[in-house]
Amino acid sequence: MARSWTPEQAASLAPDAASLKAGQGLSSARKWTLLARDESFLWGLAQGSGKDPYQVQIDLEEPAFKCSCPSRKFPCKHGLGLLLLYAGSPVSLPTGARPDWVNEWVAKRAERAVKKEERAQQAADDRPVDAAAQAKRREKRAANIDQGVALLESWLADIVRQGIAAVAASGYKFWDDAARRLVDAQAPGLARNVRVLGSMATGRAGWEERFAAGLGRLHLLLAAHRRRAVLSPEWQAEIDGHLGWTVDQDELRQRAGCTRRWFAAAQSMREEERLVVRTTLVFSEAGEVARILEFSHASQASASPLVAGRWFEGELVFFPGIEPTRALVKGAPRDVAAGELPCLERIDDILTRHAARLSTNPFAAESPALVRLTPRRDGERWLLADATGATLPVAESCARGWEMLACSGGEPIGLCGVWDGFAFEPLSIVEAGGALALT
Amino acid sequence: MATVHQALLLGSSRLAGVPDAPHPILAAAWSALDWQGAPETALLDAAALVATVRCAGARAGAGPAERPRAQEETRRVAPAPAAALLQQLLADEMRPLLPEWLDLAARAGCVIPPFHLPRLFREVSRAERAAFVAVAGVRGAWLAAQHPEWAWLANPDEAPSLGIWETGTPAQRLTCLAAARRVDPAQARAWLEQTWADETPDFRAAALGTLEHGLSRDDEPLLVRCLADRRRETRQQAQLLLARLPGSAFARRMRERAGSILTLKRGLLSRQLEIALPPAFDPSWKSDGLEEKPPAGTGEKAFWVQQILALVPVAHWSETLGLTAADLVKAAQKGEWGALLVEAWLRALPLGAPAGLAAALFEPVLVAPSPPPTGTRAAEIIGQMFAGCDEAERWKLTAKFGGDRWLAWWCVPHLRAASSPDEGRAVLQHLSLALRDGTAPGGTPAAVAAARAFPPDLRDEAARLLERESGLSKPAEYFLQALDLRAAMRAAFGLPS
Repeated sequence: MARSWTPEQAASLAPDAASLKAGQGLSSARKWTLLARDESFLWGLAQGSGKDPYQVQIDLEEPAFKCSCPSRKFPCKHGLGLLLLYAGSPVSLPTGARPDWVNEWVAKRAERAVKKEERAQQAADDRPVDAAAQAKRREKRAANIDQGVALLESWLADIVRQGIAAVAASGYKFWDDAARRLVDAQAPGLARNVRVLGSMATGRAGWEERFAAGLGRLHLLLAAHRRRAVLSPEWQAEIDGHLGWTVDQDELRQRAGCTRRWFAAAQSMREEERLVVRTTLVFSEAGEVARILEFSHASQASASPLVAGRWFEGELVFFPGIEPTRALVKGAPRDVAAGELPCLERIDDILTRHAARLSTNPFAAESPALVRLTPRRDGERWLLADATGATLPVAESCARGWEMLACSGGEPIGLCGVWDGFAFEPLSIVEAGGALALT
Repeated sequence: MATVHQALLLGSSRLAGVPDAPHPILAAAWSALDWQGAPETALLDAAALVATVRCAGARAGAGPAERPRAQEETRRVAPAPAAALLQQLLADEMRPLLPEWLDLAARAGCVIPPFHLPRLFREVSRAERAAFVAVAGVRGAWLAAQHPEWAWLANPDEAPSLGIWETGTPAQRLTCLAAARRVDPAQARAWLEQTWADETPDFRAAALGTLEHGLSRDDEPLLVRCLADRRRETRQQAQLLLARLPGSAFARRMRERAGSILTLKRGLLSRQLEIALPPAFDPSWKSDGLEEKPPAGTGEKAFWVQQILALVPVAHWSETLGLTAADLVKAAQKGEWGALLVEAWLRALPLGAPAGLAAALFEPVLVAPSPPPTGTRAAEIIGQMFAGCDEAERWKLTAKFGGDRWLAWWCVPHLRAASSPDEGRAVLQHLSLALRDGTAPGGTPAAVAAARAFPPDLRDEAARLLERESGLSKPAEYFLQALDLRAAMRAAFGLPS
């Protein structure tokens, strides 16, 4: 069966707002001189400013795009327009036999997949050869990081000696400089932590509690790093991950993962060091959760097969660590019918689960969760209430409280969000058939 | 002793003694920390401990009282493709098409998807409110009851209330007064008379304008008093309203004055209207608010005559002289005072015009003069004229004269959707040159707004008209996109195009 797309899912593939607009402009059948599809591909001819129409084709599964236009955006507006058109009205694309130019691309893609497989095999075979050099690089980086950690330790001690009231007034540069030093020391994870800490030093009412928590956790991480040698491999991996060591994903892919039916509940993008990081939270029907990070260059965002609201069957391999949530998808995810969302319906369950997580791993600062609760307004604040009347505060950063309320109509609604011990940050409204972003 | 947070705020260098453990359960861990040897480290350890314990031990709060739930929606929610289009409309240049989405939703018996309600509550303009309210549904009403700024949903026209009249902003008070006039004209007049002395001159002129709703002889005393107001705008507003009351003494006096000025001369083959200029400014004119001093460049006698003629409904002439609107305009143009008469009648249009007057005036006012009126002046005149025409007449006039300069661009904003492709086709021709070359006055927003007037079926024809070697101009592209979007909206709601 051809994979189905909703207009929201298709729109979320746009590399930027301008492309989305241009794509929407092309999402009308009139703009196309040919439109057709089969089980796994869409293709069409779009008249552009050139003499010959552009050949636009999409592999629905992945999704992969190809267009003969000169645009460097990816996907280009033609590809996006074709997918939007298909999402909005699949009947506009009659089933047909692939023309030669589509067959050519299909063949090339298959060929490339084989080559990639071979290269991976080759790389695996070659590995022992440069293992020594790799170990040496690793050693050098470890020494670098140790220096960065030492620097950070004395920096933290300084802050604590002076009192955090003094740092609340330090501007962006204070935190940015410290973060840069850590990037230089090849510890990007620590740099991220410092930046987050800086964003909490607002001086607003109650800031010190959250800031103190951030400070304490960062200190705990450094202390754990000092004791690294005596810890189990899982703990070492957990700590390394927070410091910013990258994990060899090719090697990870060799491991057996867990194959489940997953629901992509929420997706967010952030830019970091010229990279676009797309984070997707996925949940299995049994309530297992995974965080999937996809990186692409800011100048050339790529499409993701994980679109919020999609149910798919896929094999997920979790990164090493203590009860890890970060995972990668091994192989191509396949569409499956919508299943039952494993929503927590009692506030106590959300709290207990987070407490249990913290008891095994104090670095688990946030618990992603699917919940079914009722949004309520309390003065200027938003709360989420369960059937017993118990409530959780909604994060102040949430700007879509009224949207939540509108969708709920006073009844419980499915939400995907993150509980951090202080507030619940809603990321999307989820229903069996889809997800509406709240960010 | 202090809490950990107080100690952290203060700094370990100023710390005297050990901060208290926040809970007895932490006492053992607390005393194991090296507060003496390394107070910074001890404080950081303590912060980590407190953070973890605090987050793990977070407790649920007690909520505010539960509010009543929303009732079941009685109509279906707009289908997903329509909702996706709504998002597109809100995002960019296509915003002028939003009212059409709302109307189509109403026609299809749909309501707005709840997720989009808050954004629309914030963004619909006053003019769009009625269309929004019609499809906000049960959920919209439920939501409005909880947001103080959305209370207008319950009565989008702002039912008049003494409270708003007494304490509202000037704009709110005017809306309120106009609404009150529609419900109970005498009551509204009483409100206005009560506060009249304290109102600002600007507000007086504007407030007087609202009396056009439910105007009657009962308003005459107030209006007569206003003829002596110190501000000219107020005096003129009062004149206009009095002139619209056929039984008023003011209207009668104006008819008499005009009657002694304007005469119809019937020749063998044609009729012509002639004007006898008055020898001097009659002192009685002043008490009726007429101006004695003309603006620079205008003869004073002609100025007096024009004021008087502009305050007599043109219907009066067609009745007393037994001429149709077209014949009146023809007879006016035969004589030497054609331009003055045409100008006066244009101003008298709202007072009551015989059928076809606007159509008869269109050419002499907008096309014939040299130089002809342009820009905002032309737009203003067309607005006045079209106010007195029905839809078919407007389309006919636009088709006939729209090709002259950019007149069609000023006409189109007043047009509702064409009733047939043929009707749209001629006007489209007039717009096409400026669209194709990208010189449309008002740029892309005007192009999108203009697209509202044409049936989406004309899309392919329009595309052929707008094509050019170097690709579509920006306005042309948006014009065609707007037509596409309108067709897509109809399809999304399952309505014929």
